[in-house]
Amino acid sequence: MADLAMTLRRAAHDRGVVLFGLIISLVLCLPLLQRLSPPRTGYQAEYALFQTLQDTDERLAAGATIAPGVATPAPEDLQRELTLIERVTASIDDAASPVRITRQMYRLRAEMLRQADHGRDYQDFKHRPLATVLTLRQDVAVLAWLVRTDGRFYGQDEVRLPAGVQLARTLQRFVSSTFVLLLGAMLASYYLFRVKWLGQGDFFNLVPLGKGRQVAWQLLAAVLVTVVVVVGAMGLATLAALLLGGGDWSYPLAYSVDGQHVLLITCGRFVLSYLAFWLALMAVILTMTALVQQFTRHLATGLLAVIALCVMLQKAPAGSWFAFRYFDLAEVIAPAAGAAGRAPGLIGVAVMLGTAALIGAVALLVAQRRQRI
Amino acid sequence: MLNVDNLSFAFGKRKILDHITLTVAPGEIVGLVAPNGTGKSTLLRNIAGLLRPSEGTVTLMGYDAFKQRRQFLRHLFFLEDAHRLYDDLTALELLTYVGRIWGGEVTAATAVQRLRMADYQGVRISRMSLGMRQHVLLAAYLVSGADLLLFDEPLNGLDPTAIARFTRVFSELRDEGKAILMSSHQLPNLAEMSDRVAFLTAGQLEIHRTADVDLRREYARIFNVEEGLM
Repeated sequence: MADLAMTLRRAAHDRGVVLFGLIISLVLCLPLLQRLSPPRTGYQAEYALFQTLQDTDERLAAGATIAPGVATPAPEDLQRELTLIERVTASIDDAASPVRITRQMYRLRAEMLRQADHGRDYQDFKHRPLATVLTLRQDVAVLAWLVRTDGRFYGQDEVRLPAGVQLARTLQRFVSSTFVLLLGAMLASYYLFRVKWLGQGDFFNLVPLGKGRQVAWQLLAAVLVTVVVVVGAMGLATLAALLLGGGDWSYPLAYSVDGQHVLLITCGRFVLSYLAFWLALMAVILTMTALVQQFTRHLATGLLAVIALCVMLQKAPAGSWFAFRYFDLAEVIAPAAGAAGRAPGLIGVAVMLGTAALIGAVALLVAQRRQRI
Repeated sequence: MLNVDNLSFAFGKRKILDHITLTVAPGEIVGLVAPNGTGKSTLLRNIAGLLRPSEGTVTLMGYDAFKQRRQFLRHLFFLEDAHRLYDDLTALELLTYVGRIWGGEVTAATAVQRLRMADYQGVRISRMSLGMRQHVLLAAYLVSGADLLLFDEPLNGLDPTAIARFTRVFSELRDEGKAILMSSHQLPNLAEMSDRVAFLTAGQLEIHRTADVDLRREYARIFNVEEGLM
């Protein structure tokens, strides 16, 4: 235990470890700062439709004839749509309940989808596609689900979200799997390779102790440091989210990519699952680094080897027992289109921890056999 | 105590050490002398087992450097480079750490007192001068209680007072039966401290009793130093 205590003490003095924690926190918090920007609503699409309707009315009043075509809606369709838009905006003005607004949004989106199915082409003033059949089907599927569960709908571009929703979306959208892998590999490599890189590995190689035991202490210390850094960073990001928006962990996140299937998960569950997966992923990367460092003392070589292994193995065709299939955390927790090839829920965490234990044991055996670190 | 037998080592095709044989007895100090880049540190690293010799064996107290690694290391302390210490620890923390691993009888506090390090024992190593770091290295050896000390350039960065202190400590260690193999360029100090001096030339050792030779003159002869440069 003396070794572990001393290793942890060294880590506590290490500015690099603290820096990694701050980087992770910053990345998680950065999108939250959008909430401080001038407010934008999720109803810009409705506003654009309102403009289109006005334009059409003016042109009709001026005696213009409207050529039939998919891009030009019939006046009665526009009128029906306008009525629904007005109900939504009036509800917002009246500070109606979120559930009521969601129901009206559902009716509006359903109407838009009906028109889109009949060839309506939603474009903005610069003729850029505003909504497609697919996006409308997604919205309708999600809204229908939310109406059934008394949930609340937030547009995809909405930035002034409640805190829990914002943090969950940040994790899901902005923190890419590649970034997590890179940061994880850097943190693991930095901590484990640093000793060798600075030449201090020779000190370890000369201590009269079993090198397997030394690697075990090093690995355990690295895991503890990583847990502190990642949990601390996530805690900081959560705190920032709460300070910016209040506690609202029960809000569900709903996703639908194909417009048919909707996944619903509460923000709190999403964030905690993400944390559990990240820690399990870090355990795998740490043990991989411990193994790789047996064969190279060069930081850059080791880092590249770990990243290359992570990226290549992530794409390997293997079953749900293969830990590297779980490296895309957001995709695992909230899969876009099913979870093919992966075990559901937190079983993935168990798979990753088991793999980490296996790789770690191999690293210890190699170190013990070579008597070098 | 230390037996180096027929040891050879090469970096690729470049042969650095060529069938070297050396013994260091308990209570003996042997100085290792050679110009820069000729293999002093490589020889010490081979003896410590950080590099694997292409030929020959190294034993310490009868333990083979590779076959009985843990027992071998129990009796060895290698101080190679003052810049490879744990910068994030204080001197006292590092000494405590070493003491816990080696389990020597000398405490960190005793070592600090013996080397007059009380003023900076709580300073983080990253903020120490080279001379202070050399003191930490030697203190670490004292705490380890190992029988053989390999010390690469122990006198670098030391002021005259510190050199005198190191000389005294080395002498005390010799009296305690410890063996020391150290490399150095400081010939006058080496002449004062060591019992024998080994000149490393062309991968081979030429060993003399210190009392029998003038080290400066011998150095000039072996390494063809022009007259007036020494």
